[in-house]
Amino acid sequence: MSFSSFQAPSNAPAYSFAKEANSGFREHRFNPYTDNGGSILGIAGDDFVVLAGDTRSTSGYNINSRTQKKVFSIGGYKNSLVIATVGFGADARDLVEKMKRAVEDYKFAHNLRDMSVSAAAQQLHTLLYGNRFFPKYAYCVLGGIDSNGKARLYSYDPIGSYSKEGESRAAAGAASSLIVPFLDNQVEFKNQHTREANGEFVEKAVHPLPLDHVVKLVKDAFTSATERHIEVGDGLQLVIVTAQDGLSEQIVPLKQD
Amino acid sequence: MSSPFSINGGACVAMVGKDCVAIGCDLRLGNQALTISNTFPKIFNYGQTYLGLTGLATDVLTVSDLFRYKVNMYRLREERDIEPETMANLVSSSLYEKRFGPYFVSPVIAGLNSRTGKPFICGFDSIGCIDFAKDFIVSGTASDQLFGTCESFWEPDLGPEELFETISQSLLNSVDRDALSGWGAEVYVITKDGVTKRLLKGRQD
Amino acid sequence: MAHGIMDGTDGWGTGGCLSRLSDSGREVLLGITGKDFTIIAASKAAVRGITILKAEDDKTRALNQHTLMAYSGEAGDTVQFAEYIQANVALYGMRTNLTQELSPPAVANFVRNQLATSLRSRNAKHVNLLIGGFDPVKKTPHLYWMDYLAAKAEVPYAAHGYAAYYCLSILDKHHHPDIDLEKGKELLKMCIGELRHRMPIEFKGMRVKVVSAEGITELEEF
Repeated sequence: MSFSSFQAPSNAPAYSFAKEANSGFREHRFNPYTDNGGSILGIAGDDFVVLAGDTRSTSGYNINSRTQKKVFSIGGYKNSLVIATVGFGADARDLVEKMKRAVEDYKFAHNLRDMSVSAAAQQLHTLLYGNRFFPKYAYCVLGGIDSNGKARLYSYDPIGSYSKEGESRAAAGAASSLIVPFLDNQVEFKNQHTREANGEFVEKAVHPLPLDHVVKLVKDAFTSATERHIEVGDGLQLVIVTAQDGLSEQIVPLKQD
Repeated sequence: MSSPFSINGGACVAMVGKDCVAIGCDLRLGNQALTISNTFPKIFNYGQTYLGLTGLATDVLTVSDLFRYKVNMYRLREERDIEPETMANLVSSSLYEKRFGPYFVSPVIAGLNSRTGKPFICGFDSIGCIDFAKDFIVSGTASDQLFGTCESFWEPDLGPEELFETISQSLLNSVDRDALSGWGAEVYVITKDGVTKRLLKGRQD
Repeated sequence: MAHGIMDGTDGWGTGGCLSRLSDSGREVLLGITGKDFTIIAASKAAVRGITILKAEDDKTRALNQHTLMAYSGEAGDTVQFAEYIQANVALYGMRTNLTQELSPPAVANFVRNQLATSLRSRNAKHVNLLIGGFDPVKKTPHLYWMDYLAAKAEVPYAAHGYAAYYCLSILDKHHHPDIDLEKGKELLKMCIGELRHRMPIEFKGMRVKVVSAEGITELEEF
């Protein structure tokens, strides 16, 4: 049984010449969701987080925008909280607005204390799960710096499932299936081995990557995704949050075809 | 999940290097989510030309047997091995013959032309449309993942050992993110001096 | 797409648990190889819908002295296909005037070819198979798993139907290619014990046969 109100759009393009399912009668119903394509990605270092997303917004085979950003700063602790969203653009935007409000309200309800990343993480879950029976069709990645100056990264499905322990990297959206195995290998060193002194092979130990290396990985991931996925391209919005220097953003051009 | 292309699961990839080519596949045979065998290779060789077949397992076997027969007949008539380019056209026309009742397979070809030594790879859809590629070809239930890893890892003019590492990492990391592929892999690296076949140990989950 | 075998229906329009094809899932087929033998076991219940028609059924046919085939699937198709194969393996032996019988791999390939041809015919046979054998020349055991689509794999141990979900994990943990017949029987007993204990289906016990260098023998102890 599925909830009749939630019908995630299928990945298949809706061909104009596709025949309607012939079930004897035709039902016209408002579909409240669209898939606006695009992909997002987040990687946590030791004391920095990189959140990235392409700037293309699509519907079917049409490109609605080449400059639509998917990563947003929402304030919070040391102004370090950032959210990246993909899925249905309207729901994604609404979520970000609601999170901004929640972070702002928190400040005035807590004696001008800024919201921490872990609190924002729980807040985003509450927000998403509050729409359990008419979900916000948006995949989110939340990043920030915690009170110890360490990077935190959380990722969510549309109804708010997330891990309190956080992630070292996360990807979502149209090209996530292309990007995730690359990240497995390059961030968590999956299928990589080192040889011990006694000649035995052991799994390569995981360690936090330096910022310049992470930026290179993100650019590689998106140029590859752009090459092989039609819904990804135009521009790469890169948002870097560090414990020392705070927030910075750059836009790198991607292929427009 | 009742598409014939994803009942049994499986993945295959071919790559071009400098004066060499490589082709690799996973070893799983499944029935939906249940794994039946972890020793089910999907690459078959016809002389110096290698054919990878993913899709419906019964058609993988039928098609591989069919081409063994056809290539043996070719060899008897021509008194020489089949070239990869010729094999590509044979595969294409044989698949298109079944245009309205196709074999549910996505074939991949890799080989070196025995006269020119030129690397050749190509892929097909199930009715024989050829995809000539200069870099790599992917197929199977992990094809999305393979597109991502291959596009990131592959670069032009890799030597045989570099090419082996590239194709192996692309394959292994891709099938680990696909529930229907994996359970070990095998990789062939083909150079003018010979062919190296390696069995890759992979996650058994 | 509208290809018959991919639309998820059983072709009988019911799709429910009482359709004739779903009977095959409740039939138990097990196979285990060891150092010098192959065990083939099949449930003794002949089921149709919610009724057990027979409690002493034999879902196996000997294809030659050292090859045994167990089958499950659609009622009429199974025996018809098995006996057709049985006769044609014998015929093939006579025609080619072989001094030696066909090896288990040769028989398995022949069976697969017949089933694969049937699959793309107007009336496809819905038969799942286990082919167990012992090659008396090379002294090697063989076991082939084959489904009704004619997907074939040589395996150390195999199961068909719901039994697979209960037994394969046990065999994954305890099986080894070098086991002797005693250990093989012990493994089979573990599997049957689990089926009796956990599977909510009455299968009326198992008929167990062993293929070894001596030929095919039935084990009465099960």
